[in-house]
Amino acid sequence: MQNHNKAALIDFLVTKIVCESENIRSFYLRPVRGECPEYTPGEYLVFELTDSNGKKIKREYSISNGSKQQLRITIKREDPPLQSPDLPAGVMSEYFHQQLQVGDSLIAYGPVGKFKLQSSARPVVLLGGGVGQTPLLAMAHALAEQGTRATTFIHACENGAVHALGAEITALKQSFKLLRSYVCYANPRSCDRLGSDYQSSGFISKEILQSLLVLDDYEFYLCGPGPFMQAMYNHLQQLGVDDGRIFYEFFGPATLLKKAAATVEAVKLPVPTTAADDSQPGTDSASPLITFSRSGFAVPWDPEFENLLEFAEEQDLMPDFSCRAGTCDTCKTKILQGQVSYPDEPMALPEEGYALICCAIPKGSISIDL
Amino acid sequence: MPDRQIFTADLNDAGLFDAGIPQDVFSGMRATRGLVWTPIGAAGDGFWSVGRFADIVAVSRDPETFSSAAGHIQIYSIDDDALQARASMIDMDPPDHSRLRRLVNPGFIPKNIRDYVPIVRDRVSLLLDDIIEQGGADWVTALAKPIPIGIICDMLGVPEEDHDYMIELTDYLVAGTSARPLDPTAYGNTTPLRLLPFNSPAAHGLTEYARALGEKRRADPRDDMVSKLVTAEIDGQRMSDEEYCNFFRLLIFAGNETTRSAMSNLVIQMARFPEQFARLKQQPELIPSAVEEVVRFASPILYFRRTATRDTVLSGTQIKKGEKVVMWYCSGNFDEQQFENPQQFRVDRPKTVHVGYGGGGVHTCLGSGLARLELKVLLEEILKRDMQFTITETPEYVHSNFVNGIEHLHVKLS
Ligand SMILES: Cc1cc2nc3c(=O)[nH]c(=O)nc-3n(C[C@H](O)[C@H](O)[C@H](O)COP(=O)(O)OP(=O)(O)OC[C@H]3O[C@@H](n4cnc5c(N)ncnc54)[C@H](O)[C@@H]3O)c2cc1C
Ligand code: HEM
Ligand code: FES
Repeated sequence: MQNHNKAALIDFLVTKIVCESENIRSFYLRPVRGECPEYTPGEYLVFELTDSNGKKIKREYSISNGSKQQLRITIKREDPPLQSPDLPAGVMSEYFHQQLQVGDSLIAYGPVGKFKLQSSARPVVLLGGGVGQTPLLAMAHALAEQGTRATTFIHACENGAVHALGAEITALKQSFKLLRSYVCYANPRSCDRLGSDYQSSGFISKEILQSLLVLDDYEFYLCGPGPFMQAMYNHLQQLGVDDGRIFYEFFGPATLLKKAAATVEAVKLPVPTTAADDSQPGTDSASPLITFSRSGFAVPWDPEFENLLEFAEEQDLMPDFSCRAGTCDTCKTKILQGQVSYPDEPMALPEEGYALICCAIPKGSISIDL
Repeated sequence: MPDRQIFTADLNDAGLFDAGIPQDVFSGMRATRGLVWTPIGAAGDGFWSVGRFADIVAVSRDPETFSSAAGHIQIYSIDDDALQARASMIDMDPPDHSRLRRLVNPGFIPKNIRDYVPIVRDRVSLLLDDIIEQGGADWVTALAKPIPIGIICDMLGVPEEDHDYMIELTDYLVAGTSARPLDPTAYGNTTPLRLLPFNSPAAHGLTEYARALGEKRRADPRDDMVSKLVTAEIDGQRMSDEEYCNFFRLLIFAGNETTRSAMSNLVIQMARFPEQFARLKQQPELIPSAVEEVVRFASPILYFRRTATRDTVLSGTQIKKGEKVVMWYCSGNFDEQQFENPQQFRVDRPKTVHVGYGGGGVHTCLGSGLARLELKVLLEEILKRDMQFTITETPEYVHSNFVNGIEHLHVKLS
């Protein structure tokens, strides 16, 4: 493939338009000059259009498959939201669906992106919701060509009316024996066939994922609507999948998937507690135990944390603070049992029995009034 | 006023800061015993200047004596109604301050801001690569402006397409701290300028924007800070519209001009002391202390003011109830009593507390963790690319004695 300056614009010719479902079409693009730029599966192209008000708008579309000769993008028509049908449809997707014809020319920038198939030997799970499957399709094709990594393609969408490119995955399974697929329809129509068109209805649950994933060292690639992604991410977290093996892309401004809950398994304690009773300050051999007496649980101290405030926050507690540097007294907290020390001395030490938790660490097991 | 030491330089004149921090003016101030007085006009108005590190800390940590609510926190006086109209937590004292601070604290704890590392890295990488491709740029427009505003807008939930508008408004807001007259009708403003923060019509623009976004989020809440602010209750009561709009303005402004200035100053320091930064390639563990040193040298906020709530004595000087007390962070950060060789830029300076984020106490910068994170990632990405900067034109400073901002910084890569 051609060595290509990523910052340059490429002139494309539309060579084919394929209707993939009720609201999704694929567009095949051939460069006017030379070969297609090299791309890593997961990358996208950026298209620019001047709207009716003369404003320039830019939209990204993932490459859903490609060769030296042509690239394919696959676009969903963005209708106005159901509750406000008078709003205009999506500008760019409408242009692609309603106006663009075979033989027309288009300018795009790219391929670019950070969401890329990693080069490793790990088995792969491609987890896509709706049109979010597009970059995952390119990945599936690349994995098939490579032929060495077990691949699970999981797709969730409304039903058979909008399900795009299902046949392509079925066909790919013929040549790529390590590929499995699983389809989940949120609301199947009566003509959709359970077992052949789709495997389950409703949402993809943690149990479904667990049953599909027998090995334990998968790499996960997620792309789809925000709530879908957050749900999948939460499931994976609960299944103990390491963050470093989850890659994802949003079809919108960059956002982050949030960790659901505390990372350390908390020990529920009866309140009031006596957990710190039998420990000698400073002499604990194992991790000291931090008892949050008011919240009624205890967690072993993790020396990775700089101070007790950060540690409490990690457990989803939210003590008051201002300066986080021992100068304002806002974080002053009662120490019910045990002692603390200060790696960086605060401006003034609090009275006996209290600690400035923003700069204190435990000296042995402690119980604090949080 | 008989026994006041009138200071030699007019600190109320923004022109004094047109080429950056006037170091000799402040070393003179620190060398003077007690506090010095700068008169404003003939009617007896004026302010005390606090220039030594220890005194700044003492004022910051004593909000009962040195109030943020009793008067304005900038040097010029404003009427009570104007003060009332703009009050956000930064112009309050405990306990009012504490209630509001509690609302926004969660967004800024380490656990929550570390999520921004990859986002900052992505955004910074994209812009740095553009600059490299062009061989240079106006660093302020190309990077120092868009990065901080992008992040704070992400946090608040301001959509991407409005980021440029936010930059425009905050620029125009800072313009109000200079002597230049502003168009009172800009952004459809109808409020008398004296009632607006920074006396700038942009404050009206920001308020209107905040209100519209707030209404959207109240109807359809998302996982962003505006949604939290408009739905949150303090002691069983929702914030008023005005309180929310003031909060929005504070967050947009505070997280923006300051970090921008630090990012510009980073490049100025890199051009001046390339050998210091070369060390970081071998010793990346020094990057956090380099970031502290950059902020100390930058002192993006030059001062904040307090107002004495009673007669008191500081550094041997009598201060009367109601008098203005100005803490010059840009002086405390170069105090010979606190820093060894303060004029020396050292990436390996042993950990020493500075007052770039304030002198401690309850108003300590809410966003310091975020600012540190942004600066650290930026520096890492610059080092990764081996970028060496040459400054091709004299940096153009913002005409202000309040922020140490830089309007334009033309750099070439060598
Ligand atoms: C990295 C990346 C990759 C992507 N890849 C793909 C891909 O492969 N395939 C794909 O289909 N998409 C993809 N997208 C999404 C794509 O870039 C566009 O965001 C999408 O097509 C919508 O753009 P549009 O111009 O059609 O809609 P817009 O004009 O942006 O409108 C979006 C929606 O808002 C509605 N709307 C219009 N006005 C209003 C209003 N006033 N109030 C409320 N709603 C309103 C519209 O009806 C429409 O439903 C990707 C996005 C990213 C960031
Ligand atoms: C290098 C960058 C920054 C510098 C130098 C800086 C500096 C300061 C200073 C000096 C204060 C006043 C402290 C006082 O009055 O005692 C302050 C307060 C504040 N800063 Fe920053 N700041 C920076 C970045 C940020 C960011 C990124 C945010 C994010 C929103 C932010 C939000 C705030 C807020 C909300 C306050 C008021 C806190 C209160 O009153 O409790 N700042 N900052
Ligand atoms: S938060 Fe200020 S002393 Fe701990």
